Amino acid sequence: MPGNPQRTNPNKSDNAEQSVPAPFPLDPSLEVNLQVLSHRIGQSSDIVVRRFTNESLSSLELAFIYIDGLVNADVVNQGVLQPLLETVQLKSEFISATDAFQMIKTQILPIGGVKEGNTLEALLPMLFDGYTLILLEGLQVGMAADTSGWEKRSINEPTSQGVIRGPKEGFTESLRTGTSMLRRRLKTPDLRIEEYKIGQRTQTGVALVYLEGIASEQVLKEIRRRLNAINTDSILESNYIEEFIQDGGLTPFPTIQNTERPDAMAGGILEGQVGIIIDGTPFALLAPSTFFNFFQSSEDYYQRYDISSFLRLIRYSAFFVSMLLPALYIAVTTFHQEMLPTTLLISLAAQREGVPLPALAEALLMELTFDVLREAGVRMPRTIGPAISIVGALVLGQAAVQAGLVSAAMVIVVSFTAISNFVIPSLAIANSIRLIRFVMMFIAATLGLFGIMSFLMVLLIHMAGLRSFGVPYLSPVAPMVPRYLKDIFIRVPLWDMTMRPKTILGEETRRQGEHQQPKPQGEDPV
Amino acid sequence: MNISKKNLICLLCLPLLSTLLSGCWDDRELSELGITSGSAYDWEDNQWKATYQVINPSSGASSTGGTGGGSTSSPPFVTFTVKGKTIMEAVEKTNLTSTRQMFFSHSRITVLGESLARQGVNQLIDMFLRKQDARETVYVFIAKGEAGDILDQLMQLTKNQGAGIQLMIEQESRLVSYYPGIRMFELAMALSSESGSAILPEILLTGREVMDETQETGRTDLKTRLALGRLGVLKGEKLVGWLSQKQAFGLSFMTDKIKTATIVFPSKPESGDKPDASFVLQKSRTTVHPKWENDHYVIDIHIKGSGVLSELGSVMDLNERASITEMEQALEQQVLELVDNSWKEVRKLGADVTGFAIKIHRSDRKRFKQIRKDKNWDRVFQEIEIRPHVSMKIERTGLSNKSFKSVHEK
Amino acid sequence: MNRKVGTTQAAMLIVNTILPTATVVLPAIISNYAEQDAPLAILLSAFFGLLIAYIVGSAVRCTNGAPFLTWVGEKSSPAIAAVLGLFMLQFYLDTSTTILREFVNFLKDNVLINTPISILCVLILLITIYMVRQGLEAIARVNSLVILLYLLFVPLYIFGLTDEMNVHQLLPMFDHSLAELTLASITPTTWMSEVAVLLFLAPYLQSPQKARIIGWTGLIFVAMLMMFSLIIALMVFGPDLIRLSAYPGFSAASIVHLGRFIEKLDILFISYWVLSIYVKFSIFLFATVECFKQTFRVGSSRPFIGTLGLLIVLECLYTWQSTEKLNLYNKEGRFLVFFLFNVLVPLGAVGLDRFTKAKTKRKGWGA
Repeated sequence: MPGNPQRTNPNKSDNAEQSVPAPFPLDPSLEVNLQVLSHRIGQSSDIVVRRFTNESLSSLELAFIYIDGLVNADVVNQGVLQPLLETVQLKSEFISATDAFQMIKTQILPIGGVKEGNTLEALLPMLFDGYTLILLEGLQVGMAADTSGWEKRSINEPTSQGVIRGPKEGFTESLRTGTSMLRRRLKTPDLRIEEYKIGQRTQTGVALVYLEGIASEQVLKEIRRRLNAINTDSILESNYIEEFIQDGGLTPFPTIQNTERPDAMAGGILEGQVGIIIDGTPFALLAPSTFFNFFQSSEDYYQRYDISSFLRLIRYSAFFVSMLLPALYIAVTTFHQEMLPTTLLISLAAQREGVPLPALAEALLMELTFDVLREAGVRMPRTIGPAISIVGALVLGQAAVQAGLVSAAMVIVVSFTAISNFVIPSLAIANSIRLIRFVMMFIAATLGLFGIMSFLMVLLIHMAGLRSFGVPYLSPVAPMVPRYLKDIFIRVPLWDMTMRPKTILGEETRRQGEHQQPKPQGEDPV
Repeated sequence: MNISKKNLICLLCLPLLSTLLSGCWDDRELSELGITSGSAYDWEDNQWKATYQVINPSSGASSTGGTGGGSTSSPPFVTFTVKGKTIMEAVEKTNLTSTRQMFFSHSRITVLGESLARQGVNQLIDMFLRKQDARETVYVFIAKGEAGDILDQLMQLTKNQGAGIQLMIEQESRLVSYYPGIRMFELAMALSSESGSAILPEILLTGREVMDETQETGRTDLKTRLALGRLGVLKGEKLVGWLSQKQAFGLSFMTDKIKTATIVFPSKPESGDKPDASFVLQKSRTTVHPKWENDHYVIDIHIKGSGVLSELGSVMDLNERASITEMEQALEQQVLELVDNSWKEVRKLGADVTGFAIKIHRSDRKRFKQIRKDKNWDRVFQEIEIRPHVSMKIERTGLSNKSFKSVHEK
Repeated sequence: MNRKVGTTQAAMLIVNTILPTATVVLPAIISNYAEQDAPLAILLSAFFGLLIAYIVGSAVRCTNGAPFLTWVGEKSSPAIAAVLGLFMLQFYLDTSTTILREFVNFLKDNVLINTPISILCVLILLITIYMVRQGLEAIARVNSLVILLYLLFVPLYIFGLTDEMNVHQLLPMFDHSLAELTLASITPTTWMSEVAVLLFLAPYLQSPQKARIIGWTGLIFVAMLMMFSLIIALMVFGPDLIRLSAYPGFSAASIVHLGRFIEKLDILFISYWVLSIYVKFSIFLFATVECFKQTFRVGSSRPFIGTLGLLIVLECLYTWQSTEKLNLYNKEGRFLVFFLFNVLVPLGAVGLDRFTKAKTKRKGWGA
């Protein structure tokens, strides 16, 4: 675990041995403590320091420190200030600081989470988590009461992974909400949640969620090792973690899934994956993930198996279309014209008549145009959104054809490619083939189908050599494990999936009893 | 780890890099291609005379149906005629006159002029088997006169004439069965087989004028149309003669090439030979059994067919079994005559288009080897005696039970 | 990190070790001698092939997964192993070269007529080197995927050709003498003897004890698929025309059509074939590298793959420039060389094993 740096020199931040300031043990003098504290965190306007003395009677001197906005004001007032102010014993002049400390901790504070710490470095992180620090004059130990309660986004429907049928709640930016959602779904003592703080400056909470016995020990060990090895100053989104821990750093393919859906994560965890929830982002990670995981959507299990299987197959074909269609179009129209049916060839030729660009340039132009449109769509303010669709559809599509810049067939190819890209449930893998598509197009334009096949071979062998935390990326298809194929290209009925359909697992591979196919009992009526 | 990562990038990039650096060697843009839909070859002045029909994409030749007529001024295809000492020289010469490179993969038909067929077709077949973009599946035809003229003729209802002719021959062999369509590799197979002979259907123009102007397709009744004619017989590599359509039909029976056919026959043979009824043969199967008898081969040909009566011009009650039997016998007689007639002509030509040599090789390989060794197949072929056995069955008689003529008898 | 290759995957590897070049050239070579009896020649050669697989399997069983040349060195003397290693290295270099050459020739003939041969060679080699670097396990995985694609292509091939097939083209059977059949089966037997790469793949097998089974299942599949492609080519073209064609299997593919819409699919089949020949070439390059590693006792072969590859490309570009030389080698030279290295070497290994065992036994008695 990385230490808690106080003042990190930015010039040295990439240095492995960072200049961690020496921990400051609390001084008996409250004054000194508060001075050091204010020196450490500066005169930020949101920090509230409240001195509290019983001038009349005792020598007891207290100070509360909390950060406005991170704490729930009601809790601070009713849970900390009020009891302290009202408790009579504290006003007695005979009470010693040590007794008072014990009393406050065990009797007075009506708050669950109360921790103590004897250095500033131990207390500060809690302050930033919304705790209220209580320091007493004459003591070298401080107390922190959990009064956190900052403004949170309420639980909403996931925006990027919507379903028609299925739970409509998604993770929020809060780590605790995330773990609670999982707890609610997996009410088993086997659910383990390990928490890490990663990032020297952000101290982002990262929770490792898994089911003891179902997740593989080997995988867990590897993930823990990689998480601990992360040495960076900030984790702002789950992609930071993903890039730091994923296998084969230079692969275009993602080896870790991300999801906004707690149900999808619960499903993954139940199949032996390990979930990683990161504070500050609704996108959680699931690892290890194989290529085929990216084509599974949680909705597959909420719909009948026949339609789910059909949709699966559609997704795989969409994947290939999205990766290969422009390249195939180029290869077929410039190298292998004999493959096309004659009538189609003639109408293509008629369309190409008068188009000034070679097929590759035409395809590149349209593909790039589409990517520009897509990026524009993301950045655009909502109100002028419809304008872009008019510009995109009419001006760039129809007008370009009419102006003879591109052929109509090319517009069809590009739009179909684009639409196919959105069929793939995982944005991660959809994005990776967006780039591969361009490489494919170049190769197709120089070597035709042979080039496409060669590059496919490169991709295939690359994927075959890839692993996600020790799990072969193409498993269970290559290496082939037939009994795990039940949830890959098709989804078999749930009652037939007696084993967990993943290759790397802990000991508990069975998920349910056998022979559960519903059958009418007794004799048939009539 | 670092080194291997770097290498990995290099390896991933190299194919890309090399392709980017080197450009494209084999690509042909669609707008540079002259899509050839048909070709014709003649032999003239000891030279190959080749005619290519190149599709004009901008005329909308892809759309079938609708005449278009005078509205589109540009023709659906253009033809080039060139001469050369070899075929490829002729092809090369087209590049001197054409803006586009000839592209043969979409050829549908090849027409051989009679002059060429008499000269020999081996070289042409060789070119088709050897050249990478030439299709072995083009349909081959033979034309009585100049083959190039056939390709100039415009067609109605379809603009792509090559594809149109393909449709014609496929339809013919499916519905009429006078002769099967012969594709280039089938021609090569037939000529290289034991029998060494092949048949080629004839394509001809029904009139004198060639309809080669787009305006002319605007009329409903073209003066000249394309039509399938007789059947050319090749032996070795050369044309040796023709079979009429009727003889070709008989040959189809012998070689089991009948799919559907209409047979015209006299319904009451005793009361005159005038054919007054038709029968649609829906199923037909021919088996051929050669056997050696004394000093020559006897070939048993069993033809079994069944079908529907479709037309009847005499008075007859079809509920009676006798009348059906009578008609069946007349039918069988008709087929027998067809076969005999055809065999006579085939024997006269001395070309084993019946494929008897193959059958004999398969059933009696020892003697066939001997024959081959002695090189006297031609003599053996001349001595072959065929024994056709025909059995025809009228399975159904259509929607009426009596002939309409019987109305007037009352 | 490297896990080992399972038995099923290994058998599939054997299939693609032999099949890709065989399907292309084979029908032409066999039917030269045997015409419509070619399937019989395949049966005959499959029989010989199984025998060879038996020998190779026994040899692998003797070494029990130890690197072959190291094992030979231990059993006899390092000098013998080194000499044998040099010869075998030469053999594998040659074989890889011919594979590359056939690959490139085929591409030049069928698809990329104008593309310079050197570019193709280098490109193919780079990709193959990348494959070899990923390790045998990755190759085996890709291979099993490639083989899965047969499920797609075989039915397409059959359905697309049903109209054109004529069973009678296979008649008359037994038209050729045994001598002719044997002559015809020589070439397929040499292809089948390629099963001997198992000697060098053995250290990467999960259970080298099963090498015999691996070889046999692989060969039976190969024989079946060869039969399949040969019989279909024969049924479509007949015994006479097939002799004229340089690549009968693909000529048949060019006739494949489904209705009038899908036709001229040979490019599709060629693309598929490209995948499988990549696998084949990578297996042989892998064996070459492995042989090099064992001969010169280098710990890591990584730095040498590129060099060996360069050697292969140079040999491919300059030694095998003419096709007729290649054909002559295929027809005549190949048999001898293959027999020597693929049959006699494993046979020698088995003999060596017996000999040393007998010696130790005798020693045991003596003591």
